Amino acid sequence: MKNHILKFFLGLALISSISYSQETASFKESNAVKVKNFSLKSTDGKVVNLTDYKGKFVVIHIATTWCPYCNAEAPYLEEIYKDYHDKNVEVLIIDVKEPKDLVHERIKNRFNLSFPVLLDTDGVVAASFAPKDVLPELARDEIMLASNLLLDPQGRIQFMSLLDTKNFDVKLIHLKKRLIELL
Amino acid sequence: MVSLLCNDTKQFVEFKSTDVVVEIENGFATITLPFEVLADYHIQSNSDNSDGSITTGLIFKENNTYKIIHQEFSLKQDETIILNGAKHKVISNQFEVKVTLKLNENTSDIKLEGELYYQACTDGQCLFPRVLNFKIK
Repeated sequence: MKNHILKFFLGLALISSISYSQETASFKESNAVKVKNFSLKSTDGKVVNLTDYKGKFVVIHIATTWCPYCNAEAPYLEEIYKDYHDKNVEVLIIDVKEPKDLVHERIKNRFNLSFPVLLDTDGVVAASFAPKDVLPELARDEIMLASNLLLDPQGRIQFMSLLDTKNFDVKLIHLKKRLIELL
Repeated sequence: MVSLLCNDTKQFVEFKSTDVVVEIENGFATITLPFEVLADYHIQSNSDNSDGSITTGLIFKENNTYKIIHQEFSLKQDETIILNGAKHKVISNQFEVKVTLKLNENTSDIKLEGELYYQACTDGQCLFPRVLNFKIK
């Protein structure tokens, strides 16, 4: 886990000289990168803008229906939503390059999710989160599959983890730890 | 839908064309197609997609000179990883697919073409599904 988080932050540090504390896998608040607004349709047909969540903490998970790690994490994302929604926390899944009906059936309905599942039909939004220097031979949206982000109420990234299957954090313990620190 | 999911930029499985074995007997041909998953990668099982993962599979192009009557994956070992307490079958290293063809009369030349459809993961990433084309003559 630490290796991947470290790789990510090393890449990001080269891009934007961001400070990173490996122990907490999080950004120093004053240097955290602000995410650009995006606008995506949900499986329910509603248009969701990131700016709709201004003033809230937002957990974002990048997924596909066929990703076994994403599917394993889905119930724990719902758990975060239920446990922290009344503490100003929202959760979003961004599905990459899959059709609406498939995503609705295999993610939203299958896991009975209370929060929106968004459709990044061309992968541009997922790719926008990707560190440039991590696995440059792969597509930018591809390296983000099964990753998690935590945005603070100003829309700045306070935590980001890429998938690490050997130390798979299915219960999102690291993300929750960071969230609790910030709340 | 398959085409939407595919991304052919980089392959994680190699078709070992020089190790193909063809046996012909009594109007039937048995062809062994060897594949190798790149080191540090695994692909999803050919039989278990109960968790929604993409099953590894082979699709053959039609050919007038034979009929495909059977195909079977042969794995060196059963491999599983644990996801949220549940066993999840995967394939890594080398594997073979044995294909049995019923040859039409007067068939002297066998051309077999197809696609291996798979979805790979490493220790750090799950990757978009790929299609690996293969051809033997």
